[in-house]
Amino acid sequence: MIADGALADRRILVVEDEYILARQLMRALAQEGAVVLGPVSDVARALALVDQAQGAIDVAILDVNLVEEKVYPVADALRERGVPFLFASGYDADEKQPRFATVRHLVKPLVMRSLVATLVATLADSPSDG
Amino acid sequence: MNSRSLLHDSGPEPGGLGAGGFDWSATPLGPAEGWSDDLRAAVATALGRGGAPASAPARSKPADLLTPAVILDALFNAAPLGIGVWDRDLRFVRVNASLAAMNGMAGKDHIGRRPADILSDIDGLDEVMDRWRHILATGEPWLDVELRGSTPAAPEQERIWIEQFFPIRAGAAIVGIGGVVAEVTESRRVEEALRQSESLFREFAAASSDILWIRNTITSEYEFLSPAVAKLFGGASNVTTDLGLTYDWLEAVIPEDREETRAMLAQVRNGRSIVHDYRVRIPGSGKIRWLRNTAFPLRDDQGTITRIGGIVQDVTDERDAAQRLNVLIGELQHRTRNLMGVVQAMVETTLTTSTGLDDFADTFGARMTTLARVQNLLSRLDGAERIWFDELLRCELSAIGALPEYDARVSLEGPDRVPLRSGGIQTLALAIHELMTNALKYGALGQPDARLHIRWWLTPPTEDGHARLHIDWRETGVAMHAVAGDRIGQGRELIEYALPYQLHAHTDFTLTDDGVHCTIVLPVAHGAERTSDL
Repeated sequence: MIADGALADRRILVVEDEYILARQLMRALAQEGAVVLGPVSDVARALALVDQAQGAIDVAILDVNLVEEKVYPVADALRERGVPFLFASGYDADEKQPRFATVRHLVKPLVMRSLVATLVATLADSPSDG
Repeated sequence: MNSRSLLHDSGPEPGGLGAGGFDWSATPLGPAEGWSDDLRAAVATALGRGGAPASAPARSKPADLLTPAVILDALFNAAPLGIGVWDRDLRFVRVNASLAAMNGMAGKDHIGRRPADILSDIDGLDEVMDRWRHILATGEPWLDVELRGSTPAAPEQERIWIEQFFPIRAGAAIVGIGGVVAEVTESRRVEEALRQSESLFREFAAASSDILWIRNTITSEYEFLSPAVAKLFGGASNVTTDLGLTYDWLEAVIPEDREETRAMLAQVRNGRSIVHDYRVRIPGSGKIRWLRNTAFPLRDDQGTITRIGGIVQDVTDERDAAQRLNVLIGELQHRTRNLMGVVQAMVETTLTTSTGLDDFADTFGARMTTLARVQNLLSRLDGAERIWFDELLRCELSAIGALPEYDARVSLEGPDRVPLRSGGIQTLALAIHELMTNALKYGALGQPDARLHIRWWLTPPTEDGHARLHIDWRETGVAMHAVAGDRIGQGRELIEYALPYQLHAHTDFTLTDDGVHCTIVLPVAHGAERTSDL
């Protein structure tokens, strides 16, 4: 465990279209004691999960580039519900949309240590993190 | 000078010319007694006949000294133009200093000679003489005559003169010919050079696919606009290449770019050179094109900016290509980083299922080469092109020598050129790789009497718009004793979880008594229907 329990029981939504990467994330987050929602590989499934969770999501990891689509509608839905999130993508950070300019952004390949640290920081940012 | 002394000394009077106080016998004209009437009259005219006699008695007042003869004499001598007088025999009677200099000999050396005697290198003299005779016969002047040739002044140099010839009259009689000669050699040379340079510029501008323009900042008119403008703007009515055009570029510039374009041109008028890209809407077609204007101030002799000029280039294609390149670079970046993540995850997975380093090296090495092959296929993917399923399958089979051509146990059956969606091809390739690895180790490809039959076909698009590819992987005749469940694990996971997750596939993996039977149904690229008919 990297985060000394900071992620324990946290409900983390994972949107990542590459199965092997999603599985790796899932395992790493499980080791931190987190509860993984998903992972899901496309916007439609992600939106369905967000709806279904009814706000019971602590934080989300969003892969920006999914197969033939961008993850931004999911980001909008999460923002509407006050759920903090971070982006992960193979593109350089300056490529993302201006309205998400302040959102934390990790460049792939993900390093678990920095992912966990960024998740903890993102959680700390959010007002819902009482 | 001889002509001067001639005038002053002679003190000519109409009646007393021949008998007057000048000894003409010393001149080429010979003694006045031997002159023809015509020569007599011409000399009288040239010397200012009628000027002196009347005023002769009143020489006391200074103003009276300015007799017409004196004035003409001064003009004659001081004029920067060549002036000559010829008698009816076409012989020089008088030559001023300018003409003498042009001809390269003293004035006195002209007198009494015909042009052909002393200026034989002037072109077309015979014709000139004919025309002179015509003047003498008709009294019609011959004006603006261009003559070329050389004179003893500069024997090697071709020179040009503009000459005016007119009759000299004495009452009703035409007594001789007067001529005024202006040398234009230098100005013609400059004009010619200018004309050549201008014609070169126009040719250059006409051949250029870029628009060359020059605009007068005072009148706001285009003084030059090359023909390419018509090509760009097509049949737009207010565009012509005529000079004096006041076409307003800004009208064509799209509103978003107009303010900046205006500001940039203002900078040019203030003396800055600029390079500026902006968009125009082509009248008629309504298409948007990107133009790059390289503009600069043009100064007059005083250094004042009176014109601005520029070169406008259509850079639409260039910008499109740059943008496509950016997208490709982004895509490459994305793929590479994703791939690194996949490799990293694969190391972890392979580590957890390996029995030792050798085992790890074998399995991991094989998986890496599969990834490498897929990258190879993907690298030629540029958006328009697709990777075909049969191509991917053959690529994997050939890597282990299991193409039907080489391995009688293997048979393939299905249409060519089934296009796959680009996302997830890597995962599909890995799944096929795992199926093959298992077949090699425990299944049909590892046993002499077993068979592997791979069949695929397409079904038409469902309501989601995607046609589907059905893959049926069937191994038969396999003795199932050696199967180790764990080792099939990786392939099985890819098929049962990864393909549904990433490719929205429906899959089934069954270990029958006879060998593995695996079915995969996955959506394929749009256009699969059409392409598979080929």
